[in-house]
Amino acid sequence: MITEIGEPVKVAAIFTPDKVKICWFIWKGRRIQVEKTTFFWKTKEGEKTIHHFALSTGQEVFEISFCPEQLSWLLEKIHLE
Amino acid sequence: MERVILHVDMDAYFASVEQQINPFLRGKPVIVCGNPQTKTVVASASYEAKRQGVRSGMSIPQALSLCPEAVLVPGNPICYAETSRTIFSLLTSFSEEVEIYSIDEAFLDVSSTVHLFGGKESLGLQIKKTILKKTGLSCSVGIAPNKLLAKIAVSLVKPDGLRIIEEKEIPELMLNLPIEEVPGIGPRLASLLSDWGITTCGQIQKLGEEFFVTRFGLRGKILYQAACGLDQSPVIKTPAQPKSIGHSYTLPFNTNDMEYIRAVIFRLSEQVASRMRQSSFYGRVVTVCVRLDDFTTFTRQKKFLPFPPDGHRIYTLAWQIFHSFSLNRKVRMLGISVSELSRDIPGPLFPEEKSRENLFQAIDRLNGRLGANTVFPATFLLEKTVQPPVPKTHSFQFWRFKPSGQTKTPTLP
Repeated sequence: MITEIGEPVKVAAIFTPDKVKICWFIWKGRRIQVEKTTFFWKTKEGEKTIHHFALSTGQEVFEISFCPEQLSWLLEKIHLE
Repeated sequence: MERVILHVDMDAYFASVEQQINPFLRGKPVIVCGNPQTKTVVASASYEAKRQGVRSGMSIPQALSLCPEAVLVPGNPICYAETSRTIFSLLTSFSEEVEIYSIDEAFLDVSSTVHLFGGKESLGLQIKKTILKKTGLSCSVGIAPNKLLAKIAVSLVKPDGLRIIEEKEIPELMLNLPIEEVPGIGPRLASLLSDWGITTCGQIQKLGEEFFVTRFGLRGKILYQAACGLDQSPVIKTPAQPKSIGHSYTLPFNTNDMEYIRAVIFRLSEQVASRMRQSSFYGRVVTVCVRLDDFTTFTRQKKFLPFPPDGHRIYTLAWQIFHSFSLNRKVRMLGISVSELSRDIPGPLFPEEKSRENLFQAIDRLNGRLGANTVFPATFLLEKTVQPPVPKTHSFQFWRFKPSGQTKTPTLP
């Protein structure tokens, strides 16, 4: 089941020359540790490029997005088993 | 120089992307579709679902009757399109001659580069490995002397396969190949040929080219040559000018509500106009396609004086054509397309036409900067306003696009 969220989150990420590794993020006061980035893709909103990450914690899958222009992270969806 | 053509075909593409996004879906039968609360069909099925008979284009109830444990996942077309861009970009490092055939298929002419990658098998394996490493997705690769055979090669080894067809293998391969395996021979033609007792390419070859030319004309010649494994078509690197621009929409429910149908035709017309404006095309022919709830499909077209990429103008012409249909059943799908596209048309002559052109250019610039549908005709809201209630047939919790609210009921021109 996929639930649309659309809420800002705080994210801890490591930026390397060719990829971004998301370590954890905070949502509704809960720190969510990321086990693995399962998928990555980019979309365009007008001139803005939005970077999308599918993240697995081992129990849940979250989709979060990053907008470089606004330096903002958004929790887009949660995939529940 | 030996001609070497390579065909790359992603395996169960949309479903594989979803299984990559959500590891809990891996190994499970997955069906990618639209909103299951509406009339939607299978867009893609994972191999676990395919093994139980689920196929693309199937209705969801039919798919679930074959595979009750399938997980329904709403499609994410933007994600798939962007991932395709990534994949096709990777392919250009193996050859400059890349033809994007569909969202999950491409042809490469590697005649001049295959030796740089250690030969055909090595090249095929490198391509598979590169795509897998970058995206986590598997693909099947076919390598042959022409596009037709390269595509056939892929169909013989899917999923996650690699097949090379050498020149000397072609006669024996084509002799016993079922006609359904030949690209371009669809179910209807295959059924017709089967009625004549023709089920293999060898049987087509035995009857001779003249037999098919007499019955099907030029198409018969192409059919015969395909059955022989012949195909001279080049890998087309640069997309040619489109012959037409169109949009179609399968309605969430079958309906004969004219107000709703008009609203949909208006939206489709504006979508077509928007794409025409991107390439500064004028058009001359409008085609309207209507599919009824019994899947009967009508297509009618009409030629006009050249008209600009104006959604309202296209809608007016399309509505004229739509009225010429005698519909005695509910409508399931609508499609609008414009053809005989040209840029060699003088611009608008009258001030009001110029004013509209300036307006649409401003809207396109805004949408290009801030995102699609930042500004849109208010008439788009009518589609939601007049939409009859959707019968609730499933208890699914998700809804990808939330209908926007409106404060004033717009009316169609």
